[in-house]
Amino acid sequence: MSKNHNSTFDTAERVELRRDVTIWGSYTWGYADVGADIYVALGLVIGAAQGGAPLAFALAGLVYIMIGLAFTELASSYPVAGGGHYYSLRGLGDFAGFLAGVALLLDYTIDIALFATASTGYINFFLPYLGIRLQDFAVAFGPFQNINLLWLGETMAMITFLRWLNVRGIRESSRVNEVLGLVDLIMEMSVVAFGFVLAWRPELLVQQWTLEFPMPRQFMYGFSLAIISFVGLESISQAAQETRRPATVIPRTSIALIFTVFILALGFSTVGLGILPWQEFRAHEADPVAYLASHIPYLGVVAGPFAAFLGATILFISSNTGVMGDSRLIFSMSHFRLVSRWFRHVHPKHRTPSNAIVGFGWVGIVLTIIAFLTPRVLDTLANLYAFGATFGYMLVFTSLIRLRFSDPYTPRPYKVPLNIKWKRKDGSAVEVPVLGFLGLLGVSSIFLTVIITHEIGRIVGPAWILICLLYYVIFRRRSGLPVLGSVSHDWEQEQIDVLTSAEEFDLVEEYKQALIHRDRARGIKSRWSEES
Amino acid sequence: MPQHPFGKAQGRPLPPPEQFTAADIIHIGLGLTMIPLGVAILVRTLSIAVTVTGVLVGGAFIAFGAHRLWIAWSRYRLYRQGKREKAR
Repeated sequence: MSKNHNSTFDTAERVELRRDVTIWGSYTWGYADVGADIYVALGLVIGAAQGGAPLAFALAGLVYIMIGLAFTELASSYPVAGGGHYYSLRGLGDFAGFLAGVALLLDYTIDIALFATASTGYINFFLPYLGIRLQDFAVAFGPFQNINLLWLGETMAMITFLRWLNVRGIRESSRVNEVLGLVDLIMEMSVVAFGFVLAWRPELLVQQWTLEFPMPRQFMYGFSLAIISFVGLESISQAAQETRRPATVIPRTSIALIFTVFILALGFSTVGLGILPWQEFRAHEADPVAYLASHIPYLGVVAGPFAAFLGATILFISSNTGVMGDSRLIFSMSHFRLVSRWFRHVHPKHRTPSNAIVGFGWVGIVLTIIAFLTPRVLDTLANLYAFGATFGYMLVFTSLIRLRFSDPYTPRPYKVPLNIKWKRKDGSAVEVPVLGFLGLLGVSSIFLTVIITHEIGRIVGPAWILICLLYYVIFRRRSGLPVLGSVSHDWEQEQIDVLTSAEEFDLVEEYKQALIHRDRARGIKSRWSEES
Repeated sequence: MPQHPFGKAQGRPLPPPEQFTAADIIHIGLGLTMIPLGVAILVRTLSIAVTVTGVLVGGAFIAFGAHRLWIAWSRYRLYRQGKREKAR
């Protein structure tokens, strides 16, 4: 009874979430999220990978393309906002669903701290115009040197403001995302294009490539950091939940989005190293895109401040995505009884999950303060971001592979290319995703690199997972639920509810027919046949 | 019948476009920008030295630009086909 009730509640909630997001709207929405990463990653990756930065971006980008294709298949087959957590839950059970969920929670929380810090970093681009020097606000407390109180204060104020906005239920509309995504796309393209035409010196790029290529360990560090320029693919599944006919729209938008972001990451690093020496990016890792834009002849006077303004805005929205992502994810985890019901508390007046928003907002503030105590604040946060993202993506690939075997009946409007057909003993056929295995290998190698080279990530990341696991064990035992096993879920009904709310009626029929066919082959009466 | 720009993998056909949209401008604009940029990157870097970066980035720009233009062209063919069917 309670299951039916939950199912009805979920469907109602999903129907409520559906908006008329078009193909173009879905693309620009995704771009407003993933496209913002380059504003943070450019300085950090060039600072780490030096003359080899374009190669670091390219290698990480190839893995990212495979991750993107996996997300495209999963998001169009299971158009639910939970993203990696939901796919792991479906494919691997409650325990893996929890692990993927906490990795994503870490990422969303870091997202709040990292993007708020980066956003204020771009705001600080304007301080010299006001005659203010940011360095004047740096202080030392005992062993902690160079703590910038102004920047820290701005970041904390921004996170507090975001918490307030979200508790009150104020969020940007799809239209705002569309406009910002489009303006950002045009701006980024213009910086790359005009940079190449007016300022690019290939001899500088070649010189840095040949004479300033980093040592292998340093290059690996840069390569593993480069993955953060592509994080945000969860927005594909988020968009799936809020799009009508996601099976038609999602494959088209996400593939275009994946390649645009990849090309721009390559473009920025190549044009950047052909205009400025890598050391200058390291010195300006808080506002690298604005700094680069300000060095384009003729246009720099306008392009620099405009890029800084746009960077601050789009990073502010990305930080907000973290607050929203945290609250939605924990809400979903609570629904599947992976965490306490306390997280599902809804504000009596504003009808928003206030406990989750305020709680994770505080975690974001604490992480920001800790990061400001380290020598390089953005680098510290990026370390943690890379850990959470790669850990979550490993589980996404595993789920993709597992779901091909455990749930071959769900219609897949898009399939990751390169599949080998395998006929099982019961006569059913499974398409084994070769690219899924390659992607798992690629993302595992980045995860391993993060563990080897990220001094902070390898301690704080696993510590976060362990603390959450401890909580999970206590919570599940107290609730009388299995720790390693799973609570039974009616996934078939759930899938039909999801597809129905997405108005994918032909897929509902296709799914039902596949289930009837399966039941007939097993010699049992199907609950989905017309007669029953 | 012209194939959809994203190939068969996505399977589900979209209705033919009914008008020229902002998305088409972006497709054409990106295509026309990326191809000359890619050629410039290839020519200028290769004239100095053969580097992985030059070949990779230049090639990727040209491929991406060609893909954008192909999408715009396919949409135009779908539009023409839709118009013909309407007229019939």
